[in-house]
Amino acid sequence: MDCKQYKAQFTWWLSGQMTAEESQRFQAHVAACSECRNELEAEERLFHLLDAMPVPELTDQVKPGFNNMLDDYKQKSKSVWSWQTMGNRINRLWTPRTGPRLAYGILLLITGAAAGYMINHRSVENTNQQQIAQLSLQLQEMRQNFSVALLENNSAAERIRGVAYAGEMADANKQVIQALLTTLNNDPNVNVRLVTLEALIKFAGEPGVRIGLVQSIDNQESPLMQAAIADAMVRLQEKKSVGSLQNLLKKKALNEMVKQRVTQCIQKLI
Amino acid sequence: MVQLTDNAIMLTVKEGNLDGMALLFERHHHPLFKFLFRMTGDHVASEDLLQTVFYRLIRYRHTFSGKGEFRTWMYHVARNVLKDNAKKIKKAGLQYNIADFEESIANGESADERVVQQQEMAGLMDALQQLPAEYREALILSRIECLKYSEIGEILEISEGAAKIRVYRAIDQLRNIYKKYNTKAGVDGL
Repeated sequence: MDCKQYKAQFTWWLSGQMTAEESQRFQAHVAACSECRNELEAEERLFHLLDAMPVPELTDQVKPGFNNMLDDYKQKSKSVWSWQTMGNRINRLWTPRTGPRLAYGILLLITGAAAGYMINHRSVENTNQQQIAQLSLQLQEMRQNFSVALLENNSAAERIRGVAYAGEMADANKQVIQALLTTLNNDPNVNVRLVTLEALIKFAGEPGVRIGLVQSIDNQESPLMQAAIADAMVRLQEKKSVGSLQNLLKKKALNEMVKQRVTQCIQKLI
Repeated sequence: MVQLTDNAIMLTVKEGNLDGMALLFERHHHPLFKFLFRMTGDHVASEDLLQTVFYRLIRYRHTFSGKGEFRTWMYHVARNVLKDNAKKIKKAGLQYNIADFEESIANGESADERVVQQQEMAGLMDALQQLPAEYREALILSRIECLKYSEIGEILEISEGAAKIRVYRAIDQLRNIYKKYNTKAGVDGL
């Protein structure tokens, strides 16, 4: 090996990762070559300087900040519905043995409760039901307006709250869907875009959602979002997304892991 | 008492023991902050990014397979957080301010020595700022927690050999930039 090759090994030597044999050979050359020795000393000095580069002390808000974030997350996990948690729970309950029995039991329970309710409350309930239906509609509208307003807030945490709020609704009107799609495509915060994707998956049956999700594939530059939206297409079995996913694979700067994930997703959709 | 490994703790977090993340935070938030700060030069942004990384580790805990090291996965997520916030960080620019660190770096016996030390460190900080991000991150990862090239390769999604070359090129470029700075400043540099 010549000096140029040994100089290319300086960093490796200084990192302490050479084998004993390689290290012996290296040290022998450096001991005999003054030019390499001087340059190695200079590089060692640069490494020491790098190590000595100062880093500020963490403020005393960091740990409480983390603890608050963790508490908020635990709180939201209890109340916010997600495909993941629901899927896991159903998988655990629904075995070949318990599944049919569970289904039959639930059906009996619902039928019995409905029959008892109808027999006891038919006439009085008709009026009450109309009032309740009206109140529910008004409440639903209020929630939708509140959710849309939160989605335009300056704070990412509030926008995430707005998405969570929208996700809790039984169904979403055009305004909410449009607001969620706009957030998915344009929000500067990737955490907000991720929870928005989860909420939109829930509303996949609403008009415009599926096509909106497919169109969103081209807009996503974050590797996390690209992988998440590819997974979403498989969950929804949205075969119309194959073209957009294939276009995504052609992007030059595409992350290698995302490339593999998207390829797998396309295979599952074809 | 047997200490649980990072992987073992993260697998319990994956199963629902979210409080386990507090232990992982305790173990790793300092070196992770160092990485983020050296990449951005911005103290406030680095603390925010630190919280974002841990949020994502919790949020995407189901993607942790346990096959690789937790630390590798954590730095991988940290890189993605940096990429996702690249536009914001680019606007702010690297913001090392040498005056903030005078006491910690200038410990020479004479005033002249201390001035030279400060100038050397200012030059190095400036040189690091000028390195392309992919070289800067490889170099910083190799100097934080003494990560092995195999680990650096996994984090950067390149082979071990390619990681070695990248770190070597990074130090080479850093040295050239640093030499120019020292020539201008008239300081005996490397």
